[in-house]
Amino acid sequence: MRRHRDVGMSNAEPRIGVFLCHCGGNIGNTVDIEKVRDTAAQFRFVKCAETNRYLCSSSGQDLIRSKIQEHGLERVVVGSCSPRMHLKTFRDLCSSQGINPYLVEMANLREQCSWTTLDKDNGTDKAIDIIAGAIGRTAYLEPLTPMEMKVNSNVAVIGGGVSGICASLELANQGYKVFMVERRPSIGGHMAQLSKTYPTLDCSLCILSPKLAETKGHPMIELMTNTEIAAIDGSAGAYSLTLSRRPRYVNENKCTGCGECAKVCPVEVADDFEEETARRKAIYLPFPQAVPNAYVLDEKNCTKCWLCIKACKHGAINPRDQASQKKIEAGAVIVATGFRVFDPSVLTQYSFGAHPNVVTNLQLERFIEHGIYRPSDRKTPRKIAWVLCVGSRDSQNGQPYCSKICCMAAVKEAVLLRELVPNLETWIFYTDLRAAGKGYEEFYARAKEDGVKFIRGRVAEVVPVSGDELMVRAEDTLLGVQLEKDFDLVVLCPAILPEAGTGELAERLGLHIGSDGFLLERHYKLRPVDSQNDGVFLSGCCLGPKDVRESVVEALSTASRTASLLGKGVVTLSPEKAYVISDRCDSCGKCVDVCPTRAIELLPSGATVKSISCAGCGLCVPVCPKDAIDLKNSTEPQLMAEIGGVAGATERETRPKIIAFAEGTSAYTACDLVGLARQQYPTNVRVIKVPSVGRLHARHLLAAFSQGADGVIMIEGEGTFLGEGRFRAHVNEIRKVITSKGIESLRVFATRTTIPQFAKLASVFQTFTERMQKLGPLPSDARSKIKQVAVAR
Amino acid sequence: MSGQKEVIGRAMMDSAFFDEVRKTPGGEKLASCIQCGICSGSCTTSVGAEFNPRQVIELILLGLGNKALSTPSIWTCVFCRACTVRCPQGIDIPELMSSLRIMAVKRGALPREDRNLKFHESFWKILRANGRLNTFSLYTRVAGMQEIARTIPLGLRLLRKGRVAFRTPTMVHPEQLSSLTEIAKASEEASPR
Repeated sequence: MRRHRDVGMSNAEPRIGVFLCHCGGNIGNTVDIEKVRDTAAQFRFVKCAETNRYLCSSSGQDLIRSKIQEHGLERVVVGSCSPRMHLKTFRDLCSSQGINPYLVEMANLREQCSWTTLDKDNGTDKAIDIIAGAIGRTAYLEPLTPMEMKVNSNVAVIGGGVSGICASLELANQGYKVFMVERRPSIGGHMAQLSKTYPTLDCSLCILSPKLAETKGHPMIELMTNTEIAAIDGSAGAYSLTLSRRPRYVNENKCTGCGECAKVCPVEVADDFEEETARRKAIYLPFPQAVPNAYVLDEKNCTKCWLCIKACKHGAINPRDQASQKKIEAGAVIVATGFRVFDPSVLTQYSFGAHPNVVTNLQLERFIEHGIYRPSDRKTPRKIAWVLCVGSRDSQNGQPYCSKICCMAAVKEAVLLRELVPNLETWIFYTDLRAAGKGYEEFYARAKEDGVKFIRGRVAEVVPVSGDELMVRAEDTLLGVQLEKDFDLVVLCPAILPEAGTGELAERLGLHIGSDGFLLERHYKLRPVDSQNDGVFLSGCCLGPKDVRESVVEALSTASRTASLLGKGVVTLSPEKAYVISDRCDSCGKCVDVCPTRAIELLPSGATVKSISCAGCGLCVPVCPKDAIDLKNSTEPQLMAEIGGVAGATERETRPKIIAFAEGTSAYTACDLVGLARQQYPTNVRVIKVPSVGRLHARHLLAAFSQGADGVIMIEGEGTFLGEGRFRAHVNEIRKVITSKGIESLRVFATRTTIPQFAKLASVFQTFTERMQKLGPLPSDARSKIKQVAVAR
Repeated sequence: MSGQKEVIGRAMMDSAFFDEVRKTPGGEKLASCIQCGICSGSCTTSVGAEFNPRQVIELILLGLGNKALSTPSIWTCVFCRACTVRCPQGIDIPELMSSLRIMAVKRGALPREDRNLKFHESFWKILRANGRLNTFSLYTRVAGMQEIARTIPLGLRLLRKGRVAFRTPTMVHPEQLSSLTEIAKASEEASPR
């Protein structure tokens, strides 16, 4: 049956238990679990092999527990879902039975096997290979202990909108020191601009301004306005942020907010807080309730006449104020950078910018605050139309997603204006009216009863007909007729976009951006406010369009996530770090040069790894000419044993056999998502997780080829330590060695992917398999020729 | 708006028709239509037609092939492309109408007595015969006797200005016409639709 591979363990034979999960029918329907068990039972070191319907259930866990006792198991292989799902569950379980958690290995039989095929025979063969790889690796696993590091208990909150404010207050009230960093001169964000909030019609600033004041006065919050993040360093528990502050030219502590300076200022410009519906001076208070309640000088527009200095009785104006930088230390970072709105002038058919009576709904919010008028002649409007989905749900000219808040905002504005203006006509043109939320549908019903007209049809065009009037043309899709109606105010509801600079911030913080441009959460359902980076949490509209209530919910969630990271006072660091075998090291320094986190130092005794800084990427391993550096939990023998198992296990030969090395975070997650989306690809492809493609040496590929592989794919995530250029260079280096051994270059394929691009992997697997089918299996003489080369050191 | 209403039964729906249209030019993104109506709101020619563009797409989505091909509405499109420029899903509606017309011709599912259809047929007949359009001949083929009689004053004015001619303009190289029609025929036969 199965050839017994000599795994050459130096110590006593490890006692391995193999547990296989049906996951209901999720795995069992396309993988013959019993057959996999029977095969696995015959592998060397395997003392028991069991199956269960749901291993993660309490009865499944009981089974593992009792078998560990019964057979005196020392190591455990679990064949079930992705380790991203349940590795912690099984590690905790085995740990409670005295097995070191790093002696537990998971074989991904669901996301990367059973969910990607409907062919049970081939699915079973693939599962056997995956299990063989896991068993091979497990024989070489080493017990490891996570390191503990004391954390800094400060928190940096980036963004002072309602989300950032609520997160800050929640943490400050729990006793954490909070640095609040806001780019604008005042905190408050977009909520400060709103008239009232739906569906309760609470006055927006009335409920927000107490929070603004509390933030300013809180002893545990240090408020820094006019300030941005210049640089960030470190990792969870110990971040160091460099902040750069733009000059305000007004001393916040001396300014009383009397406004004498603005009275004498000769410069008038459009007011950005008022969405350019009003004008302000070059020295100004952003809005009456601004926090800090201090004037600010608009550097761009100021003519430096300094009349304001004479007018200020408190000596608060400092013409020599300069930009400055400041360093802060924090254990965690909360990103709450919010949104900006789509520029509707891109859609020329809506006449925004071409006719004064076409406004955005943020402008309308300001009109409601100051008294409603139509801009053309400042008279009260009589007929208002709302145009929904301006740039939303529009994959051609705008954003493909629904901006979520516009429907309810338009309904709210219509209801408010009907109260303010008697006999007002209010028409809302919608694509689909989305009122999902507590009390929202009821509010929509109320608006209908109040007399708001709803027309189902996306507006085709807004045509100026006279100085005041505009004609709105749309199809009433419920009747199937074209409808034309005149209005004297047309309100566009533009799409919600991530705030400008979100991409740059993401790059600085090592966060991922989704295909919609918003920041990406760690897990869509279960870790909705965690980022890809431990210790950085995400809150509010930086994650996607949402309203005030949801932004606050997320703020409180991030506060809780932050507290559970910092509350213990220590963070555990993964023990998966590089280490130097010092008697082999000849201090050539090659590892020092490639290390992306500068974690390796060259001491007189040789290279030394600073464990705290080491990211565990493994880029240093293949560059060492003396094989003197290795990576814990992805050691050379572990990797070689896994390759051997995956490449050569099944009796019934799969041809062509393809091994895909996937970088452990993004690329491996993307491979999981292919399965989660139930996208099929040939079972010929078997995935092996590696810390990074940069961890691989040509000898790993040669080992795969010599032991049965016909093709190798290497997938690296984007945004990892192995950037585009180094990735290409590294792959070319490997390719050169492979071709020198007589293997066609076509048999090696390398690509980079982001998590949201996962769908492309299925087609990569498909086309590469087809290419290998055309090329045929690796000739046996080529295989035997490289066999001598590819022996593990 | 269609005047007569009827129950659409399962027997009338043919998902194979939907799949077929999806494979034709203009049908690529058809399935992603969200029925927002911006096409029909922008359409300059479908006012008063049996179905507007959004409704034609809905007919295809439901697999109502007979209705979609035999309606005169698919012959009203003048390729102004206002719908496509604005369509949030990037559906090429004029191209889709063209594909539907070709399918209708191949299946003989043409509407009876439709002015737009008559225009298209006459247009191509004249063009295939002469390689150039004769506007006078085209008009007389499409318009009825009464209409022609009524528009004689306008016709005379146009004639004086040289906007209408009785004579068909001639091609510089008439011998190329047959090879052109042959190429068109060959490519039509080679294409899957």
